[in-house]
Amino acid sequence: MSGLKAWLLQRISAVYLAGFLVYFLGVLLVCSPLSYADWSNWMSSTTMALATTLFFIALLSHAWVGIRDVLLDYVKPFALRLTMLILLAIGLLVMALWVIRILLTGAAV
Amino acid sequence: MHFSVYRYNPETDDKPYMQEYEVAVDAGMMLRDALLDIKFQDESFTFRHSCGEGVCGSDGVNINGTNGLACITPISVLKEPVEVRPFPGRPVIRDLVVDMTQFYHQYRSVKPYLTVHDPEPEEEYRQSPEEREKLDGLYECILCGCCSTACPSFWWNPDKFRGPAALLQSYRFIADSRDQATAQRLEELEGPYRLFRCHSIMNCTNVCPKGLNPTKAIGEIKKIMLKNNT
Repeated sequence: MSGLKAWLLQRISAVYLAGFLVYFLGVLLVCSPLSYADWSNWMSSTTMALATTLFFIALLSHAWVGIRDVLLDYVKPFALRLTMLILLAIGLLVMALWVIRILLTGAAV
Repeated sequence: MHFSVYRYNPETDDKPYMQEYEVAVDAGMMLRDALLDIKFQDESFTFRHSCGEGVCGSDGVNINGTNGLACITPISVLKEPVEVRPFPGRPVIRDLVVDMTQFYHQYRSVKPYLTVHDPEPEEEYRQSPEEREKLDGLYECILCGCCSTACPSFWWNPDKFRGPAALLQSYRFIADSRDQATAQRLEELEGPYRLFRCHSIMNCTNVCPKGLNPTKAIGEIKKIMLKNNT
């Protein structure tokens, strides 16, 4: 993915990340869940579970486009760039799997 | 007034150095006049200049860290010592004279001329005042290179990224109601480098001596690409 699609993904994910963070931090500030049960209920409600999953999808794809941009700008030697892109992809993938695990375990509790 | 000027002659100097000059200044004097005075004091010093009124775009230099045209920069607004250097990121030919080949190459690559596939009209190409208005803020570019050489994306990838000046010109023809090559122009700009190395940091707009806004033009190109792709 490059050019227009990458740019679009970066913009859309940025808007979602900003919106979600404002809402999430707003809730914590204004009516912070008082107990673990409250928190758990809130986080595992269908809407919130969906929104959180979307948040991490947006976060990881935003990170992919952004860091790839930095590598395209600054890392010139092809082999080094490829290695770093592969490492980045693996890193983000591991984080994605980790997030899925956390979200699934959270949902199970 | 005190000036510190970048000097480099690849034939005699191992590396570039800054040389100090004192110039007696008058009210209303432009930086170009000061540079001419320096050249009078020391004729080994060289810089490009021609029209002296911000039209030819020859005397683009880096003034106290910001690109601009020496001929329309009043020295009264400059902080002492005035540091004058060549455009950043360009190979130096000598002193303030740089090699702009890559800049012109990128300009040529956007095919900066009207492309019409229909047979030529009998008399003239018609354009409404509204259609003509769309070219304002685009056609005034004098290709001095202040914007592209102030752009980090152009510093890192001058061979692949078109740069703000060329992209402004690309949009000048995309926006032209008479041009019939919009689709090819857009297609040519796809990919990670040519257009999309721009991260909208707006150095270009900040330094443009003609007050143009390449960042906005680049944004418009992206908008049209988006519209044509959905």
